[in-house]
Amino acid sequence: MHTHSSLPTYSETEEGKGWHLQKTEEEFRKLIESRQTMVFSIALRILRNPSVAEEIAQDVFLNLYERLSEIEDPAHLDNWLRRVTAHRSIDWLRQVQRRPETYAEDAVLDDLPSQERPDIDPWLKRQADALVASLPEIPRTILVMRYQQDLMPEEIADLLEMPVTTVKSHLQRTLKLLREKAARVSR
Amino acid sequence: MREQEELELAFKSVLATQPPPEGFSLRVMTRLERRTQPASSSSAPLIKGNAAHFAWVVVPYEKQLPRRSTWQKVASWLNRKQNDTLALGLFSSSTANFENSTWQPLLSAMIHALVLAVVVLLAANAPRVVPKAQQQLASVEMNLPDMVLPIGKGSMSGGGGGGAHQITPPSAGKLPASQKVTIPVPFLTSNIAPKLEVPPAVIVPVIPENSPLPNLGMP
Repeated sequence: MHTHSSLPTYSETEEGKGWHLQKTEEEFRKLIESRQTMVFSIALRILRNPSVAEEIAQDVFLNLYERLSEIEDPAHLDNWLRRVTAHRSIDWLRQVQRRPETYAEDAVLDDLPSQERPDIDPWLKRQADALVASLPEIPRTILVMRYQQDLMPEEIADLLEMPVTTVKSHLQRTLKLLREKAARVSR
Repeated sequence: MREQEELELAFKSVLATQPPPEGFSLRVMTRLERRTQPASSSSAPLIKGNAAHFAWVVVPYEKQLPRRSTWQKVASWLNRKQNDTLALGLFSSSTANFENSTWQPLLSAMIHALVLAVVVLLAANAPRVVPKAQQQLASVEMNLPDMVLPIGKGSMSGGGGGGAHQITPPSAGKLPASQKVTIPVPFLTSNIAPKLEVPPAVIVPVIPENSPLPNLGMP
């Protein structure tokens, strides 16, 4: 789980309970900077297109600005951001599936500044990337939530509004599939 | 094994978090400012001038009034100014351009009266006489023939039913004739040389007669 030390404080003002402090420009900018990596990473790993991922992430933060008064605490904020980002990314993917000629996955994914370890073979990384990319959007989202955001299956189920058993079976099937494909690749 | 570990590392690196490009928060704040700022001055001339009465068409989203609940609408209607009641009149105009003019309501009333008069005149001059072709009535004989039916023999008095009823006992019918077949005497058949469908996989050796083993159920 990610922890954010520079969280704005919860307050009760004349407008009611909520995080009204972030309504100021500086506070909201700090809020964005504390969570932009999380939101962008989720969108990027689901959508696999940096420009579209940034657009989705920007939309999520603009939507957050309008709904700040509904946010109750930092955990609720993180949950809300993950949920909205995941749903918007999945919606986007489903939209472009109807007109695939307008969307290019992997187009500029390699152009991003890499944070990975240099000892990983680039060919192997591309293979792993292709395996993850071959997954449908829901299993891919569950994989991202589990291994990137370190969420438990119960939290993922709450996030994606599906039964816990479905999340677990998705995870199990996906990992099995990845292992099988990886075994074929490593041979 | 080393390949598997390397592949796991590759998976982790594929799913790792990635910071957005530089200036992300700045771009979000710019979009936010564009949303929250009032309409730019460049669009103001479009609203002013001769097109003033179409100003509602080009009012930007931010300028639109917030949605109000039904109760708020009722409360504001009850608290309306006295001058606003003119807008509820039949021939008055609610647009801003017509508020101060006196001849516009008069013109509106005249046009309405003219239209109403035309409608009344047309209704008054509408033909009411039925064409002669439709006036020729055909005489139809409505006398029905004598429909009283004769009463049958043996019919019961009283209402309901009809026709002659005869008291006939129901037929018991006849049994079908049975076929005479000679049933042969049953006899036992024995298969002298039985043959297995599938040959035995293991052939067990026959126990010799002088075997020292005890005879357990064998004939």
